[in-house]
This record gives sequence, structure tokens and C-alpha cells, in this order.
Amino acid sequence: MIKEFLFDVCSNQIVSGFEHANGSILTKYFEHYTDSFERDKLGSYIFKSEGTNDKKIMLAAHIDEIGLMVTKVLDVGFLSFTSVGGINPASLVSQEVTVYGKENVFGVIGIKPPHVTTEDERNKPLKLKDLYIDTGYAKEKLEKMVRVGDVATIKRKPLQLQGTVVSAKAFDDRACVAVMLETAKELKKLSHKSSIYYTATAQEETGYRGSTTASYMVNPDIGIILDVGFGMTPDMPAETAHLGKGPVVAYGGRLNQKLTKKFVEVCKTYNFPMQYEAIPSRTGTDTEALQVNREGIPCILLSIPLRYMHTSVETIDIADVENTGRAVARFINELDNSDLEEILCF
Amino acid sequence: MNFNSELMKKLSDCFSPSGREKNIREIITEEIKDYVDEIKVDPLGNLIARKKGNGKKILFSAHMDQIGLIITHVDEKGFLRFSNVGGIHAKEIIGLSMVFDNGFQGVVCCEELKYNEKLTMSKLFIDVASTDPEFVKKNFHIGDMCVFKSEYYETPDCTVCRAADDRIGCYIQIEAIKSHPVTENDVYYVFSVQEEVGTRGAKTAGYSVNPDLAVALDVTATGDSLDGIKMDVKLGGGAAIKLMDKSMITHLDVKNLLTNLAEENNIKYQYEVLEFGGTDAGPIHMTREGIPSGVISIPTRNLHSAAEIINKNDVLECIKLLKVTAASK
Repeated sequence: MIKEFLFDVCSNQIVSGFEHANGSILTKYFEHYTDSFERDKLGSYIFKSEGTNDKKIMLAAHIDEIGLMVTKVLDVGFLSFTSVGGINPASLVSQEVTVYGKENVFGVIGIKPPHVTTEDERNKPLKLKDLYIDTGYAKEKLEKMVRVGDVATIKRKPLQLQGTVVSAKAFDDRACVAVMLETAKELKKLSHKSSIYYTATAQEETGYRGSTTASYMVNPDIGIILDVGFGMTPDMPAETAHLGKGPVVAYGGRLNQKLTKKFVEVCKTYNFPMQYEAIPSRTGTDTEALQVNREGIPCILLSIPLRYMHTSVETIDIADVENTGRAVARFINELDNSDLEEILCF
Repeated sequence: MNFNSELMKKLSDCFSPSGREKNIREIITEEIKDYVDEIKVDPLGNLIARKKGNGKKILFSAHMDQIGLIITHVDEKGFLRFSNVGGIHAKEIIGLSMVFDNGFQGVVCCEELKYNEKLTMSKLFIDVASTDPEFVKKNFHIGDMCVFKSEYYETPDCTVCRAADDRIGCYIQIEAIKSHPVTENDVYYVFSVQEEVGTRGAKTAGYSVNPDLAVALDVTATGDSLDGIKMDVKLGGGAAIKLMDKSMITHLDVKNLLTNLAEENNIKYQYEVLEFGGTDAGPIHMTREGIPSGVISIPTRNLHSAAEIINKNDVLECIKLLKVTAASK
């Protein structure tokens, strides 16, 4: 089911700022395991599972993906664009894209032939402003279909690699939306006393905006932030997390120490695999928004290891998604049966 | 409606860098007080005027502050060291005259640079043109601010001034208040403080008003000059409806609302995607549970310089778009 959800949701375009229009696919999966659903005004999807006590636990994983936005339709029918969220221009070269205009327009992003690229140009990093989307249309026709402000994404179908390893665009952070789905499914079996808010947040990639407004709206007692982290490849530093070895538990100033410790204990008790990372200051996740919302929210941060972040071949191990989902469900169940005040007091 | 040059000159010539908005607040208060139902100044200094109604609550925001320099050190020779208040770059201000609130002036000068040495703000100083230490000591102090000293100038279709950013937004709101449309909507006109140093005023104003819809009025860059900025907006192309900048992605409902209003009312408009900068709508749209927000932008050449250029016709189109938005269902 997790793979089906992931492939389904990653085949859709939900670029930051367009969650309202395109996120309804989520309800299809979450409505089986949750009681009600609402949105904040920026486009976050909040699925609520009623509890029996007055505690609120918010899970946050962002639904938006990075993308491109058209800045100008050029005289000869090419499209200039900028990025929505952080993109390395090199990752765009030779890609097929879909531009979501009045109708979907396909295009490619090319690069000057090597024959006419000077030594100097070769040694300089590519810039977004040097790249164009080529649709093949004449300007007059293109202008009728595409306007400034329309978004585009790389056109790529999710891929099954070996075993449980899969590759797609937008696993950042839909891998973690899938974690929430797994948690919801598990908690249906395990039961919970707190009310659980599964929040697919909007506009994380442009500055944690949806989680700012959604966490204001939910006003939870605890935040569990789920995002992807860097996965090991030959060119990454030794401390990088490995695919298939479970969620990465973050330690750092943004995270609540006692809650984090509790999660680690639960993983050990129930034999869930896990890894650790230290994040001294900024986490670059929705934690930034949640921790300091309203009166402050104690948070933990769990990451799914992912290779090639912010490209169209983001690669994860589905086993990590399932294990993390189940571990979080067990964690919530254990929290509900402990003295929360005790855990949260300093 | 014609362009009221006299009003724009008055607004642009007023000395009010970020954190020192008293002068401009007084001018705007004087202009609008007879036309609004309520007017107040909040704890940060935002001026919030209201046209009461029982309908949709709409907030418009234009910032009153302008960029400038703040004095960090005064030496006995009359040389002042400074830092920037808002986005000013060292290489763009050498040789410019600056003026203080008390009317005294200084010229931005540069130390001799070694070969290939990088120009930074710390290499610059202001020469206040005096050999009298007493005069310097008496009239210039740490914490004093100064702004560009430049003359307001007009051609038949354009205006050149030092603080189009964002006195032109203030101008548009003042003109809209004076000819406010008949509507049930509860409309708040915010003249915000400290936008240039991090959209601070709008953050608190948005929280206190908590509207259903927010629209900022601010300047944007253009891609029609020779300065290398690549974008679709041009001077004379009409009101710019912002779709994205670094502080916000315009809510799709607001994009559609503004676009439809412009098209239904034959208001000349253009879409804007700005790859740098932000506006008051940035903090406002993230207020509380989120506030659907947009920006009506005034195309402006030479942003953050002593001579920003705007087109009068664009301004008139912006006023029209603001007014139909104020009366929108």
C-alpha cells in the first residue's frame, strides 16, 4: 500500500503554493484511517484522528515539492524560468519537463553544444538564467497556453530499483507523508488517547510557511516532524545515514531532549532500526516553524535517508518508510500511557 | 483621475527612514483623517485607518519607511562612519549627497582602495563639509539617520524620486481612501513601519487586524531597462499582479480574484514573478492560521537608488485595481 501511495502521489504536481489545487489525492488514502479533515488557509491538509483525552499530537510532513516557475515567454518561443525552492541548475540539463499552463505543455531543457562552449564557460557553474525550456511552439501559440507565473516540474515516472529501493521526484517529502499514512494505519490497530493531527504541510520548500500557519491552527502539545535527510553515496561524508537502516533521530537545540530520548527507548524496546544525527542549530525543516509557534511546541525530528535530494531521481528505501511509520505509532501509544507532564517538564 | 504630482512630491520629499516614521505618519494622517471612520497608531508605529463595513475584512498595506544610512561613529574632523538601514550597496552611493532630519547634509566618500581591494561599507565615510569640530559635535550623533538628497522630477508620463519605494504605495492608498468605493466590506488601510529592515510593522498589523484578505501595495523591478534584470514586467505595462517573490507565493484564489477584477474592469495589468525581495504580504500571509494575500506592484526602475523611476499611468491603474478589490465580493 505504501508503494502504491508513493507512486500515486509522486506522479502528481504539487509545487509549493499549489497545494490547494492539487492535494486532494491525499484524502483518498487518509480518510480510511482518520475521522475528519480540514485545511489551513495556505493549503496544508490536516487529517485528525480523535482521541479520548485533551492532548494533541501533531505530525508534520510537507506535501509540496520544488519546481520551476515561468518568468517570461521569450520572443522565439522559449520560456525563461526561476526555481520554486532550491534547485541546482546542473540537475535540470537534459531533462523533460511538464509546464502546467492552460493545458499541459511538454518541453525539454537543453544546453549549448560542447563544440561552442568555451573553456571559461565549462569551468563556471551553470545558472538558472542561462537555461530555457524549449517547447517547440511558436511564440504566438505558446502565449495562448502558458503565462508568467505558471509552474513546471520535471517529467519523470517513479522507478522501482532493486528490492525495496525506489526512485522518483518529490520523495522529499512525500516519503514522510507516507510515513504518516503508515502511522495512521498502525494506530488504528494500536489505539491512542491523544488526538492525532496528520498534517501534510504546504510551502515548506519556500520557508516553512504552511507549518507556521497549520501549527498555529492545531496548537498541539507535541510536534513530530518528519522530513527526508541525506542518504549515503560515495561522495558524501562518513557520518551520512544509510538507506535501509531506519529513521534518523536528530539531536540538537531545536529538539526536545526528553521526547527524543523516549523515542529512542521505544525503538530499542520494540526492535525498530534507527540511526542518529546531530543538528546543532538550523534543521532546515518544519521544526523551524513549530518549535517557536505560539507559546512554543516541544518537537522531535525524524528523517528518512534519501539520496540525490532536490533532483528528479530522489532515492529511498520503502522499508525505512514502513519502519518509521510503525515506530512513530508505537511511540505515540507509549506516550499516551506515560505521564506526559513528567516527560515535558525540564 | 489625474496624477497628483504635488501630493507625490510631498510624500517622497519627506524624511522618514525605517524606525523614524514620525514625519511621514503626520503627513499621511493629515491627508486622510477626514475621509476615514477610524484612525490609530499601533505600538510599533503603524498607521491603521479604517473604512467600516459589515462585510469581508480586507487589509491593504503600503510601507511608510524608506531606506537610509545610520551613523555609527563621528570623528572630530567631521567624518562620519555609517551602516545601512535597508538594502543599500556600497558601490552605488559613492559621491551621493545625503540629508539628515535636521536639514544638514553630507557627501558619501570612499577611502583610497589598494589594488583589487574589495569595496565595502566600512571603506566609506560621510564628509559633512566642516572644519569646525564644534559644529560637527553639535549636529551629528551616533544613531542619526540620513537619506538620499535628490530632487523630485517629472516628465509628462514618468516620475523620478528618491522614495517611490514605497511612498507611491502610500500615495495609491491615500488616493483610494479619498475616493473609497461604496461597499459593505470592512476595509483597513495600513501604512506600515520598518518594511525595509524586515517587514516588521506588517507582521504586527496583520496580527491585530486579522483580515480575510490582504493586499500589499509596493514597488517591483522591471525587465525593460539595460540593467540586466530578466523579468517580464515593464514600465507603462499597467498594474503588476505579483505571483511570487522571496517572501510569498500568491494564493491562487487571490491571483484569480485580482486577475478577474482587472479583466472585468478593463484595468491594464501584467503578471510579475520577482526573483528577489519581499513585501508586507510576506509576514501577513503567514499570520495566525494564514491569510490569503496578494500584492499589487508598481513597476519601478532603479529600485533602492536615489532616483527611482515610475510611470504615472501604471499608478492610476493600480489605484483602480485597489478600489475594485476593496469593493470585491
